[in-house]
Amino acid sequence: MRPSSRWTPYVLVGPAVAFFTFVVGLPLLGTIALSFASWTGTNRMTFIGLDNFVRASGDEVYRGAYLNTFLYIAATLVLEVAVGFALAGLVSVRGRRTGWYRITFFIPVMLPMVVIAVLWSFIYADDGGLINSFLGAIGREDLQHVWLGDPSTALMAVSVVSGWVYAGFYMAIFYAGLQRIPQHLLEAAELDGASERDLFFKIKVPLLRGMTEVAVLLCVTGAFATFDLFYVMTNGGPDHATEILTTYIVKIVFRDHEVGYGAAMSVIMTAVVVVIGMIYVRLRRGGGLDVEY
Amino acid sequence: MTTISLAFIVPLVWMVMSSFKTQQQIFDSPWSLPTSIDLSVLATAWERGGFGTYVGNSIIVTTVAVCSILLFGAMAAFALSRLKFRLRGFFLVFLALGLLLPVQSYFVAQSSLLNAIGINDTLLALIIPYIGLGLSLAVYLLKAYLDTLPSELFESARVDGCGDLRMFVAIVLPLIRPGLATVAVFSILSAWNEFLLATLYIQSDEYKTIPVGLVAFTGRYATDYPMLFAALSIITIPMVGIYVIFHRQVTSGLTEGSLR
Amino acid sequence: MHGTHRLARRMTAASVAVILAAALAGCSSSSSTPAASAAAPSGSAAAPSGSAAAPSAGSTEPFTIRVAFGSTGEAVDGVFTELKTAYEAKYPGRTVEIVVQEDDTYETIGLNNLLTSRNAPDAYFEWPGARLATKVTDGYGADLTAAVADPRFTSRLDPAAYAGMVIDGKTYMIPWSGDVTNVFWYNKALFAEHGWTPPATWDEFMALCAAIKAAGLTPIIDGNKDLWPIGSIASHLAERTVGNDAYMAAIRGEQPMNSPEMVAAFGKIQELAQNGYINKGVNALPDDQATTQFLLGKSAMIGIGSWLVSDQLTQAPDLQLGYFNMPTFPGAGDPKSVLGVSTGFAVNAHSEHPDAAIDFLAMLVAPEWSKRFAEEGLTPMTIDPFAGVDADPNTVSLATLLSTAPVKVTPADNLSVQRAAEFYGAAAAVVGGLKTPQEALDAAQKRVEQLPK
Repeated sequence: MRPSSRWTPYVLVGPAVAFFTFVVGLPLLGTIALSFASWTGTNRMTFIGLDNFVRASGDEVYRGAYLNTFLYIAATLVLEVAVGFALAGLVSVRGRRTGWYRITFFIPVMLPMVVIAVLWSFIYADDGGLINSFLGAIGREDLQHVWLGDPSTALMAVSVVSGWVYAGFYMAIFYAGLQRIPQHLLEAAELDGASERDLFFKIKVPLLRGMTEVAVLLCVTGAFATFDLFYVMTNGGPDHATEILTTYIVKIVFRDHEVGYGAAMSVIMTAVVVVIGMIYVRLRRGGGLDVEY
Repeated sequence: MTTISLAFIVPLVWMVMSSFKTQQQIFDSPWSLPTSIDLSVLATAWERGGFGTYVGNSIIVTTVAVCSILLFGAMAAFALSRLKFRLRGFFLVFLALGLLLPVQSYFVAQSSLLNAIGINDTLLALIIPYIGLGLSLAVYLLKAYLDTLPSELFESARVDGCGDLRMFVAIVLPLIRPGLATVAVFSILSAWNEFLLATLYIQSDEYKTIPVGLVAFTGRYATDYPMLFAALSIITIPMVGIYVIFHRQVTSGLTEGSLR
Repeated sequence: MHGTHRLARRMTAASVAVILAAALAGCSSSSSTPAASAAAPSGSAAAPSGSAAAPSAGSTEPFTIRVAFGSTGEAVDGVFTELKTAYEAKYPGRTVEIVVQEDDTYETIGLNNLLTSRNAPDAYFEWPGARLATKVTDGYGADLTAAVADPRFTSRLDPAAYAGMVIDGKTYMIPWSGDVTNVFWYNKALFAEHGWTPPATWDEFMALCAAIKAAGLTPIIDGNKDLWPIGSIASHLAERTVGNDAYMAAIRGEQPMNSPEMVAAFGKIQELAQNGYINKGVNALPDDQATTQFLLGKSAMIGIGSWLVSDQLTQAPDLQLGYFNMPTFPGAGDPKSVLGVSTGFAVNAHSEHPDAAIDFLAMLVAPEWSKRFAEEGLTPMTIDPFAGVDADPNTVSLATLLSTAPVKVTPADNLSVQRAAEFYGAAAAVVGGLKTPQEALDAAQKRVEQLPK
C-alpha cells in the first residue's frame, strides 16, 4: 500500500530504528573500532592495527571456547530441540489428557537462569550433592563423578541443565504446530491402519519442517549468546573446559581490562555468526528469513 | 511420561524442601524430608536480601521495556508490512540483524556508550538496551502476523480516507492482539530474567534487578544453605504460581505467534 | 525520492557524528565519568563544589559517604555496621553507606564496576602492591600523605605497616588488616583422638595424610573454584623451592614460569592430588563452601588463610582449631617464610568528601574499633592490636607468625593479576589431575608470553 504521506512510514519505524541503532548499531560499529585499539577503559587509547586479531588467533583458550560453544550447540540441539520435539509428540497423542504434563515441562523456562544454576550446582555437588548421594544410596559409587570439576563431564553437565530448562520451550512450540495439523488427515491415516509411530514419523515430522528450521536457528543463536548458566555454575572452569565465548570475553574486558582485545574477539565471533546465518539461509529451501521485500 | 515429568519437578520441590532443613541435615541426608516446616525462614531471606528493592526494580524495568517494545514494534511492523516506501528493504535487513547477532557482538562498546552519556548504573541503562534488543523479535513476529492478514482490510480503510497513523491505531492494534500477546510473553521473560547486562551495567544495590540481587545474595550467604534455598524458593514459587494460573495465556500467546 | 536520499545521507552523517562523539568521550581521560556523575542528579544533596579538598567541617548540608569492601564473613561485616552507627553519631549530618560484595566478585569485577558506577565509593578496600598501583594509575587513588601525618594515624600505625602502600614517596592507603594467606588448619579434637600431630617437614605431612586417609577420612579439603586457594599454596611452594626473589621474578614475567624448579614445586601439588590427599571436587567447590564443610567435620584439614578464625567463631564456635605453616623441604627458600599480605583502604580520588572518608578510616584504626575487629578474628595492622582484647589465640598466634617472619611471601595475585591468573590456572590443572606440572606450567608460560607488554 502506498503510504498516506511521505513521512508517516518513517514516523512509524522511527522509534524502533532509533533504539536499535543506539543499542545495537552504534555499539557494533564501536566494537569494531575498538578492536583495532588497545584500551583499559580509563587510560589513553592507542591504535594497534591488527595486533589484537593476531593475538586472538594464537589464543588457545579463545580457540577452545569455539570448540566448547560448538559442542554446546550440538548438545543443546539434541537436548532441547530434539527432546522438545519428542515431548511434543508424546503430549499430543490424541485421547490422552496431557495438560498437566505440558505445564510441568514448561515451568523451568519461566525461571531466572541464576536460580537454576545455583540449584543444579547443588545437585551436581561432589559431596552431598543429590546425584552423587543418590548413586551412593543405590550402591553405584562407581558412577559418582565430580560432575562440574571433571573436564570430561563438566560441559555435558551444564548442557543437560540447559536441556532441562529449554526442552519444555521447544515442546510448546512444536506442540502448537502439531495442533494445527488437520485432524482429518490423522484420522484418515489411522483408518488406513497407521500406528502412532507411523503418524508421528510419516505425517507430523515432515509437516513441521518449517517450524523445525526456525527452532534450530533459535537454538543456535541462543547458544552463542548463553552466559548466565555457565557464569554461575562454572565460570569457564575447570581449566577452561567450560569456557565459552561470552565468559572469556567478559573476563578479558571486565577483569583484565583489555577492552580492545575483547572487542577483537567479539568481532571475530560476529563474523562467524554471520557466516553461519548465511549458510542457514542458503540451506533453507524457500530461502530467506521470511524477510520479504 | 510420569517419570519424565518427575525429572522436571523433583529438583524444584527439593529446593523448597531444603530451605526448611538445617545446615547439617542438608549435608548429611540431602534426600530426607525436613523435620518441620517453618515458613519464617522465607520471610528472613526476603528481608535480609532486600528483595523488595530488587522486585520493584525488575517490575519497573520490565514494564517500561515491554510496553515500549510492543508499541514501537507494532508501529514498525505495520510500516514494514503494509507500506511501500524507500529504505523499507534496508530497515528490514537492519532489524533482522538483531535476530542473528548475539549480545557479545556489541556489549563491549555498549557499556562505554552508556557510560559516555552518563546513564550507567541507572534503570535506564537496562531499559534502553532491553528495548533495543527486544525490538528485532517483536518486529519480526508482528510483521509475520500482519503479513497473513488480508490486504482488503487495509485497502478498504484507505479508500475510506484513513491515514496511516489513524489506521495504525484504529485497525492494526486491535487486529494484532494475539501477536502482541506472543511478543509480550517473550519480552517479559527475557527482560525479567536477563542477567548479563544487569550484572555489568548496574553496580548500586538500589537499582539491582532480581537475577543480580539473587546472585549477590547467594554470594554473601553461600554458606548458609537453608537461607540460600529459601531465597531461591521465594523467587521461584510465585513465578511458578503465576505460570500455573495463567498457563493458557502464556502458551497460547507463545504458540499463536509462532504459527504463520 | 530526493527527500529520502537526503534523509538517508543525513542519518548516516548523524550516526557517524554520534560514533565519533562517543569514541571521543570514551577516549578522554577518566574525568568524563565523574563529571557525568557529578552533574547527573544523584541522591547526595551536597552541592557539586569542584574543590574536593575543602574541609567538610563547616558544611551544613547532609551527605553520604560510601565505603566498599568484599565480605570476609558475617562477623567482620557486623563490625562495620557498628562502626557506621558510631560514625554517624559522631558526625551528625553524615551518613555512611556500607557496600559489601561477595569477596571473589569484588576482587575480580566488582570493585572496578563500583568505581566506574554512578555512586562510586569514597573509600574502598584494596590490596597493596600491583593492584593499588593500577588504581593509582587509573586515577582512583587519592594522595593520603598529608592525612597520615595526622596523630590519629601516626599514633596507631607503624611506618612499616605501610609497605606496598607507598608509591613514589606518596601514601595511598591506610593499612587495615594483616592476613596470613595460607596455612594448614586442623581439627584439634580429631587429631587428639587419633594421636596425630602437626607435621614439620613435607615428608611428615605426606605420612600424616596417608594415616588420615587410612582412617577413612578426607585429609584436606579446599574449594578452588576461584583458583586462589590452591594458587596461594602454589605461591608458597614456589617460594620455598626457588626463593622469594626468583619466585617474584617469575610472576613478574622477568623469568620463565616453567623452569625445572617450578615444575618440581608443582610436583608437590601433584603429589597431593595423585595420592587422594585432597578432595576430588576441589576445582568445582567454592572456597566458602569448603570452609563450611571443614567446619562441619567433612575433612581433617583445610588449607586457607587466617580469616578462618572469623568463620569458625560464627559457624562452629566450639570447634578447636590448630594450624601449621607450610611444612619444610629442601629448597632455596626460607623454611620459616610466611605467605601473607596486608590489606587496607584507599580513598577514591574522585570522591566529593575525601576528608569525611578519611575520618571514617581514622575510626577504623582507632583503639576501640581495632579491638572489635580483633575480637572477631581479624589481625589489625595497628600497634599492639591485641592489647586488652579477648582475641582468639589462633589470631594472636598468626599475627605473631606474620610479624616475626623472616620472609613475607606475597601471593601471586597481588604481584600481577594476569600472570597470576595463568599461574593459578596451572596449579588448578595440576590439583585436578588434568595436567602434569610440566604441561601446566608450559601452557601457562606460553599464554604469559602472549600478554601485551
